Amino acid sequence: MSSAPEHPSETATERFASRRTLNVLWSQNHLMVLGYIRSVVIDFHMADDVLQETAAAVAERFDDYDSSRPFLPWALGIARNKVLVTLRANSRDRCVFDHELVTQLSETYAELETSNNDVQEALSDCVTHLHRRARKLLELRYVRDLPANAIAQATGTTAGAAGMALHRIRKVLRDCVQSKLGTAMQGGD
Amino acid sequence: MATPPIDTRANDDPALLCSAYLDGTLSSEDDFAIFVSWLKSSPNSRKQFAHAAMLHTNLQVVMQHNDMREFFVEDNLADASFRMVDPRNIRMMLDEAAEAAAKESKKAAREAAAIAAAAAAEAERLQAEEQRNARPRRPPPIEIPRPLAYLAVTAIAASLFFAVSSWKERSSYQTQQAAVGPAKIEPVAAPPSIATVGKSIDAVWSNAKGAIGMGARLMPGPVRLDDGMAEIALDGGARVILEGPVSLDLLSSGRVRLTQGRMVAQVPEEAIGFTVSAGGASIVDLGTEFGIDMQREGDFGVHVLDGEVALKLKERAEPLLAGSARAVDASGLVSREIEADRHTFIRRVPASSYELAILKSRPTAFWRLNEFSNETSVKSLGSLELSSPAGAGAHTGAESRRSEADNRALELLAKHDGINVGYHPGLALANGFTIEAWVVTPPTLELPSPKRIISSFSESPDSGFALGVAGHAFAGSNDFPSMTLLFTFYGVYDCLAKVGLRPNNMYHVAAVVDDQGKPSLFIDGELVPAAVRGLEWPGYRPVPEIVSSDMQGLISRGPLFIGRNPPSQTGIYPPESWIGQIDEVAVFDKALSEEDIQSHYQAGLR
Repeated sequence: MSSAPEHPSETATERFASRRTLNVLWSQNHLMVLGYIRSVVIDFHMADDVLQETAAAVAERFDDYDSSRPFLPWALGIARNKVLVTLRANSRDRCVFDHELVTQLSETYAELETSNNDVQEALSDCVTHLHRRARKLLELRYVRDLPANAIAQATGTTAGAAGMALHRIRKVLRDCVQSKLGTAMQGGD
Repeated sequence: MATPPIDTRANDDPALLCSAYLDGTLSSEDDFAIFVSWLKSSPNSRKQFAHAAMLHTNLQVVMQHNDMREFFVEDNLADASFRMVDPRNIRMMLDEAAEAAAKESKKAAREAAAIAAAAAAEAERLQAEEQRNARPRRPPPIEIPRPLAYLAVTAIAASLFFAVSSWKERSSYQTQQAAVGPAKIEPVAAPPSIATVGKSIDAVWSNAKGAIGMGARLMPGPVRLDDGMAEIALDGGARVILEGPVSLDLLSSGRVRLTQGRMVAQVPEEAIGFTVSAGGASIVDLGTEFGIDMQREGDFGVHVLDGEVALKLKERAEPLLAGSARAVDASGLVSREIEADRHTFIRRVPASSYELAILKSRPTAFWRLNEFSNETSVKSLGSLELSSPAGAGAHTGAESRRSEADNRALELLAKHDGINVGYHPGLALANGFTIEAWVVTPPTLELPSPKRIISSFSESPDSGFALGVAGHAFAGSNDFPSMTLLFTFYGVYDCLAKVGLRPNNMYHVAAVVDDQGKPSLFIDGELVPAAVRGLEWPGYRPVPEIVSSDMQGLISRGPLFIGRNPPSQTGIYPPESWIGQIDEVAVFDKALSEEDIQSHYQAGLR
């Protein structure tokens, strides 16, 4: 019962191909965009909301994207605007970056190398090598999304000590990833 | 956040400042100001910060992925005694995620690299010192973390674009799920294929490059079947049976996301944990078969056909056993019990276009009559899955004249006992039903009496219906051809068509009785002119548009037979046995439209 393709379905095919391109570009870059957003919007859930809005805007405006230019800076530009809107709406928070810094950071992220999937695989492996207590802390911070004093309460310590412990665990993980990938992940420490 | 300021040494160490900022412990305005001025001071400091923040972001993805994996069978677990999630304790297990994570960590710690262990031990020593002062408490009950409530997070976050048109309608709460990031970490540059296309029938794929054939390998990504049916075997072991139109995203060898349409998932034991996400919820298979039907964007119904599943909503999970069904709204928040209807779904890819066409119309009973010649009973598909004995003289396994490969038919020669289907309330029909079949007509042109294809004639009271053929001898009038289609309600009326049938020829025939009781006859998919004769009337008249009460058929309480009338107690009506072939007999408990009959006929020609 299949009929010969008519004009409307050809347009659908083109749209489908364009969407596939968008899918590929987005899946290659979305974590960098998320990383940028999270570095400015600390709260995980608010950051996720901003990512959603960014993703929607990227999809809507994809026809305007000049494919001869790199995708990440373009997407980060959209993300930056969404971030600024969110920060303005939550301007009661004292500890947020100003407009200039938000813009500067979007440029910083645009220049980061995008081989992020290798990093994730290495990181996943490194996490499995951690001691039980360390993994527990990471779980409380990153899965249960607890604030510092809740983590402190859960582990019977202080917020400061918990923060320091997380810092050291991340340092260990960074060194581990670095040794696995052999890349110079400049990150201080 | 009123936390004590961190150690003043932090002022000297930008890395610590980054960490504290990312953990949200940098609340003192002075510390924050120092941090900001460091960031603004040079692009290098921003680069350093960005690296730290990327680690932080990656870490969240990795931790959540690791956490989710613990609830399912690991694909690469060596031992066969995999951990199964007991559906009765799902909530408890989610609440005790800490214990499960600890067990897994203990095992991993034994293989820990020396450097990592030493550094982590230092962190632990610091905590241990503090623990000596305060006894560690079990964490207070924590609400199920949001990420765990929808475990089938997209492996390719890009799949969120497939529903991009409906974004604006969704609440932000629900859209967060896609932002958690890839659950399965794979290099996107060359995604490995994860599934194989199996059988298909009349499949029309939305794929610019053309048809996807059997054995084709599929990569993660969207799949859309516009028409027909197809089976996809995922590498993890699960099979999905797709009924077009349907669209879904293949996420990994053990996860798919349904975005629209109807599918059945069949999951053998080795693929337990297979997950379908739909809207804001997901269904985790625990060794079963289940069907999921999504017609409006995001709202879906899930029917457990066999075994059990865990239905994971946004904020809780519930186990579902075979025979139960739920309707879930698009946000994944609300689920309500609905009547389970296993016949909503076609559970295997039909073998022929005709079978697909009939099954899509949801027959009450559909006898393919494809049995081999040594088989002594015939089986029906559809709402009624019956097994009925083939009587003496009713030969299965005859070569069918239709072009479909491996198709067989019922051959009826001389005197025979037909097939006794028996009595079923679902087949006791009077209004709003349809009968369809493929037949080879009797070899003689002059029919002294009718020949019945299917009949439920019964006496005391005279009741039941029959579809068959008859000729002008029966009609007593040369207005009718020597052989034509006849539909009878016993004791009420005969409806005789006016288009002739040739002997020993194959035809598609159908009779539709609408909800008011008006009969329509079809030959080879076309509505044919017909006339009716009742008990009271002197002859044949055209079928009236409005059917009067004296044309209402009575429901038979006796058995249904294929190939002849049921035996008469008093001998008042003869067997009127069919001579020729009968194939693909279908009975529907609704009146199909002319378009339906035509499209069924067309499907049978392929």
